[in-house]
Amino acid sequence: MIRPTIGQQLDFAWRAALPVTLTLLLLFLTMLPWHLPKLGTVGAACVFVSVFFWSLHQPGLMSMWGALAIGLVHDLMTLAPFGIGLLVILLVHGVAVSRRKAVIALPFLLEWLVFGLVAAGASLLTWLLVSLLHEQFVDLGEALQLFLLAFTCYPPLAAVFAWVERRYISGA
Amino acid sequence: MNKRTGAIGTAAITRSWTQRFTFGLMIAFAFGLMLVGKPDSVLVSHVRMMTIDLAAPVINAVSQPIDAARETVGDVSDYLQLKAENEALRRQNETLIEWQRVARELQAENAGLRDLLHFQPSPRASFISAPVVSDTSSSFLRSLIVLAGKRAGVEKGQAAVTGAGLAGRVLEVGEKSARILLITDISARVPVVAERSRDQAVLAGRNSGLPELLYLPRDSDLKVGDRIVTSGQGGVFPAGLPVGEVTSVAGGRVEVRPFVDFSRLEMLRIIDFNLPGILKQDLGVDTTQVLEPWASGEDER
Repeated sequence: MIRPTIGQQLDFAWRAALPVTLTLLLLFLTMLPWHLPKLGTVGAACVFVSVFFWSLHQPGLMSMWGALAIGLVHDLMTLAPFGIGLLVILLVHGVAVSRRKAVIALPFLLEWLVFGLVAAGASLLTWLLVSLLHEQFVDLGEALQLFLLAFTCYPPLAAVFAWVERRYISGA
Repeated sequence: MNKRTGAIGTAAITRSWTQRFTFGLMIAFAFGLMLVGKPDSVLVSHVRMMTIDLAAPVINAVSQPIDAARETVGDVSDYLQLKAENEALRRQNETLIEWQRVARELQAENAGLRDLLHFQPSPRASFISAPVVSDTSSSFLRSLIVLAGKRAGVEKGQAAVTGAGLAGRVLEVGEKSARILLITDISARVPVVAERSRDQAVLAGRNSGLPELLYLPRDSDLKVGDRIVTSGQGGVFPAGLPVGEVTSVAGGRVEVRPFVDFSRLEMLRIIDFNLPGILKQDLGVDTTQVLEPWASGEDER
């Protein structure tokens, strides 16, 4: 057996880290002061998309530990009620991994639809948990916005991720 | 089935069960964090401010080119509107000169009255200008991060204002950055008073652009357009800071549009009014409850 050189190991490591790094990068980008409305919501929506996509297409590179790290960074950086983002992100990952074989065989439109269901569930759960923590119902419209943003962001982001996957992960 | 595949099968099952168990533990951990983080625990707050302290300078550095690009675009559109803006400013200037005259008269009158009363002026407020480095507002939270912390003299509970009025208060302070809870956040409560009718109320954020007034007196006489200012109760904010304007009074629900335009905050002034505020000490309790001691005994309106 030939031992890989350090260069090869490094090359492998950065490619393997791409899914988690890209997710964190997206989150970080939405935190910059662009002075656009609803960027925080866009950040959460992008994280849903990214975690779902990578858990589905590269479960080895978006493991539960990756999801845990993303959830923790999300909650620490966005200052949202602590733990909620983490829980929802873990569940999105869990659902994607557990239904992976069935979903991955579907055409893209159906995959998008399945993501829609997951995003709807995730948005509703976030809304419910935030409402529970504040002991009053927060605006349901905010959950709807989160869902719509995640749903509309899926095709463009998935296209970019699929390109990254072909170019740097499976093709390498 | 031969022995070999049997062993692999068992290993796979064990691994899958270990993974499920680990995943279950993570879910439990997330629930635990929610419970720990709920009462704004000191530990969570410290870890958060450490993270933000690390990230804030990076965010600030990365945002420089964004700001530059945005300014350039702004400059171009400014040039295009130069004439109209000049005209508008000229008109505004005339009005302001008139106001300046009124202010001078009032200042003189005020000085005279203070002399008569042997009035002790309140300690002068000091302020720190802080650039907004990150807008972390989302569907379920309204807050900002500013690049000024303990080293600059920022303390928990201080008011964050713009020229237009009250924006929020300092919720957590790190060494180089601080987190501002905006008055539109669902957990924000500001004791306010209507400038015209003198009705006292509590301005409660709803995570939307329009906070509402709670605990208004039953016979309140609020109208659309009434100015709302801080009442100074609770010792968090001084009295008389402009907050917003009543935009709708319908079905017992009074909505207020804040004077501050939260979508364009670039600088905030963190003001220390030298008030013996209750939020300065870390009481380890939910501060919203401290702010509304009367809430438990009385129904909402």
